[in-house]
Amino acid sequence: MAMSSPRKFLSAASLCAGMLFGLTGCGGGDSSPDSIETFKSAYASSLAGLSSPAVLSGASVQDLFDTKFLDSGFTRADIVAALNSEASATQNASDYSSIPQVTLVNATVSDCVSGPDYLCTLTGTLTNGDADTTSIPFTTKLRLTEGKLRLYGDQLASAI
Amino acid sequence: MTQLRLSQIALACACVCAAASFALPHIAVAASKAKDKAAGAYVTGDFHNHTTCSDGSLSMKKLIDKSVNVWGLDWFVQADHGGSSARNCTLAEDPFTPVTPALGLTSSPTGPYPPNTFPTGGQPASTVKGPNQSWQDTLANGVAGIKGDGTANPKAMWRWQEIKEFQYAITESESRRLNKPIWMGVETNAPGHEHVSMTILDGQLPWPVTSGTGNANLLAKFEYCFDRSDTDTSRGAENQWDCSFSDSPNNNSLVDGTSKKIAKTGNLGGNNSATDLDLGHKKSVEAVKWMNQFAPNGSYYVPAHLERAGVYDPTTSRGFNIEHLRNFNNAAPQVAFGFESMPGHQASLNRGEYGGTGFVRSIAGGTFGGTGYYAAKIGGVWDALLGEGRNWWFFASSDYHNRGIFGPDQLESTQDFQPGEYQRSHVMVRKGSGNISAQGVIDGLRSGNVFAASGQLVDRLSFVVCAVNPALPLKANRDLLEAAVTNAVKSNTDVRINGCATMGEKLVARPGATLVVAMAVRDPEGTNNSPYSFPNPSLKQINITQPLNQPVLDHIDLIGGAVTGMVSPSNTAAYAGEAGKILTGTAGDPAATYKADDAATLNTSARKLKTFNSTSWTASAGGIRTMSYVVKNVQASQYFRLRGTNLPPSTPNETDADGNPLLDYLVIPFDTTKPGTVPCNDSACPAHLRTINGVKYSGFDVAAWSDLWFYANPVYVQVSGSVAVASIIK
Repeated sequence: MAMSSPRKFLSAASLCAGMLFGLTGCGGGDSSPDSIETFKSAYASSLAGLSSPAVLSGASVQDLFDTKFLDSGFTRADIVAALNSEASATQNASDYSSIPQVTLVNATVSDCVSGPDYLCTLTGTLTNGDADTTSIPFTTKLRLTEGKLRLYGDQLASAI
Repeated sequence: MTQLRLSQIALACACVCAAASFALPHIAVAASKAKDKAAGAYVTGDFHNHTTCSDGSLSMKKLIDKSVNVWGLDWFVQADHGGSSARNCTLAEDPFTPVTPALGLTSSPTGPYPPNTFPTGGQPASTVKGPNQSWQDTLANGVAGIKGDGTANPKAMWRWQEIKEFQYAITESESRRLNKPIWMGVETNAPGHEHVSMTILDGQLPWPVTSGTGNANLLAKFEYCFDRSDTDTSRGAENQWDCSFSDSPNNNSLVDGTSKKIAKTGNLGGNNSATDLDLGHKKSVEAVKWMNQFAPNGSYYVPAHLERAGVYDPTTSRGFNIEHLRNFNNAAPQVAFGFESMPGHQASLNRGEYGGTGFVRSIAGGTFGGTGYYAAKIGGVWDALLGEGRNWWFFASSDYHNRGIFGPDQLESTQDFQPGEYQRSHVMVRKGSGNISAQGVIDGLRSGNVFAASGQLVDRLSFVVCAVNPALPLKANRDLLEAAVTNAVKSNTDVRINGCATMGEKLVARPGATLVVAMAVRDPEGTNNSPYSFPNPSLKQINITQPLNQPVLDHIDLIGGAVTGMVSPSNTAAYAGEAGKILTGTAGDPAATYKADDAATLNTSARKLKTFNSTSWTASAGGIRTMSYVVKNVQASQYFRLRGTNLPPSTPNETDADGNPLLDYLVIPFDTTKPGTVPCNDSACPAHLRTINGVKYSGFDVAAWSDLWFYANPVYVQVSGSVAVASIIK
């Protein structure tokens, strides 16, 4: 990938040396530490705020999903519709059961590979602590476009 | 029975039930917020069993000891038949436990004890000891101490007096000595019907209460007022009970002036009769309403082995049709919230005691994998009730009377298993850091957060339906919820996550939502309570070698159905009907013919959604099996429930190609001169099995240990804008 403005992107070598940002196993690419941190922060805060109708229907969470997002048959349009519907249901039904909430911690972005799409792997830990604590390892694909990392999904047309 | 007759009964009951009018009475509340739910544990117990105070074979103390100490139950309700009895069950056997229970012990009707086991009839009368002696011979003041207007010799004591003055004291003292909630109930002879397991806890003070003296006076009054075998007219002697109550003007118009209970000259139990076809059922509905008025939190009313006596017969006292269950639940959903469709008597030749010479009209001919037709049939009566959105739960109890030709300290049985030995109801009790309490158990039963299993096939279970978090990949949603149910099974608790509902609860979802149904069970490692280790003869038919005392869960069925709303009693065709009615022949006879099930007893939307087995669940340490199922674009209210078994589909004489249980009589023919169908060829097959022409056949307890099932109660989903799901109002 050609280098653009050095003020926007670090070289691959210096990027790979940037262990501070939890970036490992670089094979080349130009996802900057800023873009990584920006995504991690945005995704974590969005997940943490999903009990709020404003967050559910807000542009910030919806913008986390890439235009090419496909996960178990759900497209970006499906996700946006679901988020908007959740926001509406939360506001309109007093006995509505809502959705399970999680927090994301220890997030890392790694294994970035350039190709037709520049893809990275997000890993981290999801936790629900409503009453008892349930934590799971979490991994999913991200795509870098226009300098921003976004959720890309498993690209499967249906659930496994 | 003609359709006109059905409509008459339904309308009559609608009038009787007027106090709980039909308009959807209990719009459910959604699953509570997770943080508002106290932590809980699933606890095992039994609420239907017998001593010598009715037609059992043990003293109260020995039965409690067997249930709580030997078989390890966490809670226990001692519940003899209503009516009267001449024997004094409060006298313990001597010796109490003569030998260590084992296979192959000899029985002796004459002793000495030990080394021989206790005789099946209890201590011989010649020893002048034990619970088979009469009240008349053992009370300090003899017959004068027996109250009421009984006239038999020896004089029988009415159950109300046995409960109030003798039996309750035993349960309270044993409960506090053993540090477990143990209290009194009754298997009431329900007017118009057969039997119902019930309790009224109010006044009783079992452990963890450790001070003060309680009583079972209200339970005793119920027995006097509403048991059809209690024909005492004395109003409970000095108690001078009046069974009228304010919540039911119909009841008061039916009350007899002398006995002050619903009764008529020549029909003192208030049963159905040729001259008054509806009186019995009316009285039973009044009983439910009475409990709801006087003890709404401390009561349950659970029809027992409800298919055994056949379809309802208004000229006598027999079974329960679906309209009767609806009437009970309409009258008091706080009290009447389920049935024992997994009956006791699992070791009897006619499994469950369904069919055979005693019960020739049992619905659909008998039990199916040890469960009655109403719950065993997908799309049958249970699904019809769930399809209305009713809180109607499934329970199991031992109905222990005796071990048939074996003594109470032997391990073989040709009749019953002791409480906790074979089948158990596992009930969620939200006790936080406190102790299990009787009220906690009753609240748990009422909540529906219950599963029942035979043969310890599974001993832990977690079952939830959750909305998907759309900001997470679907796999992450499934992984999170599978981890949650797995953790819950490890801890013997349930999942408390907002956006999830468990058994007995409802998830309120938006139209178009994606749901994940997540389940985990524990197939316990090691041996179960079966005394037999030879290979399961049912599985040997398909070349599977599995010790009878080490069953392996073969598969779990996820079953779902639509909720279409409560049916009005005025809609007779949809409200009242018969299922499994025998037209010709005798229950258990393969040649018997049956009437097609009436539409009111069916939920045609109910079906198996998926079967999980070793190829589709995740197995983890300790015998835990975890699985999940995705429902996309949910649009209509519905429910999900589970069942599982150790037998693969198409096991000859046991399961059909879809994995449904077959009639148990296919294993043990009704005609005992005919051979069985499942040979038991191992050298260790016990001697009490039927041998015909040199071939030993599976039957009795061996057949029960071979054929194991569990049933989990439903989780409801109410889709906003779709049909509302009714449940208990907390």
